[in-house]
Amino acid sequence: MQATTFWALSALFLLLQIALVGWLLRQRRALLPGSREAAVVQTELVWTLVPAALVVALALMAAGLGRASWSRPRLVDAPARVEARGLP
Amino acid sequence: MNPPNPAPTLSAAAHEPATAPASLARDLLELTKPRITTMAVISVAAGYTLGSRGPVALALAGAVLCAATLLASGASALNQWLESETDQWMTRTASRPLPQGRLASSVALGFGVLLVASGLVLMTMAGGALAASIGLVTVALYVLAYTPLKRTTPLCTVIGAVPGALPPLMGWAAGAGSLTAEAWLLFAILFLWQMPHFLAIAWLYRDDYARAGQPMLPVVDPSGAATARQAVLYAAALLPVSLLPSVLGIAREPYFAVALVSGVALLVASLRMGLTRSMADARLLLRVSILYLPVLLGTMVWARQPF
Repeated sequence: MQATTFWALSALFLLLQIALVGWLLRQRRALLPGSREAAVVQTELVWTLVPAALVVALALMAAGLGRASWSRPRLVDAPARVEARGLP
Repeated sequence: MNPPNPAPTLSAAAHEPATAPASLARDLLELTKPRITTMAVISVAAGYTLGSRGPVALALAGAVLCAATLLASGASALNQWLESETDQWMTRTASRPLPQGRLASSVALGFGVLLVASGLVLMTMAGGALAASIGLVTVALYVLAYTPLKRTTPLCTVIGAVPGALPPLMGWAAGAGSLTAEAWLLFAILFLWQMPHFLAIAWLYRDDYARAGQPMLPVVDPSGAATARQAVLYAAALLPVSLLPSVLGIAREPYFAVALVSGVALLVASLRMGLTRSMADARLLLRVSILYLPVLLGTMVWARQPF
């Protein structure tokens, strides 16, 4: 349940992110280059892309991709069932 | 942007240096921004506890927190020393010791350098070289990058959020001796949290910032639309990221519920401010964000999974 909630909220955030970036890009095209409004849109684009980079990097780490090193075994990595075998 | 008029609270008694030891002590304390320092030390404590293997050694933890207090206080003093001129144009900061002339500029500089230097020495001894290096980077970014950039670009907030998010990393390094992915997760939480928190402050004091010639986002975008969008966006990013300690097994189940509820509260407060852009809702967002961090970090420490 926890992992599902995390992935669902991450997906929602990314949808919001994509919508905002698309809207900002359209705004930028419509504005006069070099104008004050265009500068504000440019600034907001940078603001907008920073959390996306963070969330994507953390999602990759959480999914076990990349080279992140965890200091303890992750619960998600733990085997679901441990078999005990006696000596033959 | 040139400041047109000084802040109205600038007293006529300005530029009379303080002599009484009690008032000097009060002014020096004010130079350390005690509330911001407390918040930074809380996040160092959280990082230290979460990074430590086994039970926390109280004497060592105390020394690390002392060092963190010295570093945060010193950085604040140096920040006020650098901003003594612009502080006099802002109602919020005009009563500080330097713009009021209650402290000599050289005293503030010396005090700040002394605090940072002693903090670095103590952090090296108690927390190790890695933690001290992170402390040095934090102070350098705050004083030499964020503070001067406040006068030139609204992106200073994003850059300033980096030293703002480094304290738990310093605590983790002091407790664990190295930086692992969990430490960066704490960094990400602190980084994202600062945006709705700071944007609420910037919206509340936008006239002050404009008067001081500091182009914060609400100053360059007076409609507040960009401020509102960014506060909501960062709160929306913080929500899933704050759940990760539970998802990844760093904190036990109760943390998940607390993170979810407090994250939704922060998002709702950001949405409210975004929709109304009223001072009352900006104040509400500020209060929620101030409560959010200690609640989240406290629960994370309380519910931490032992190594």
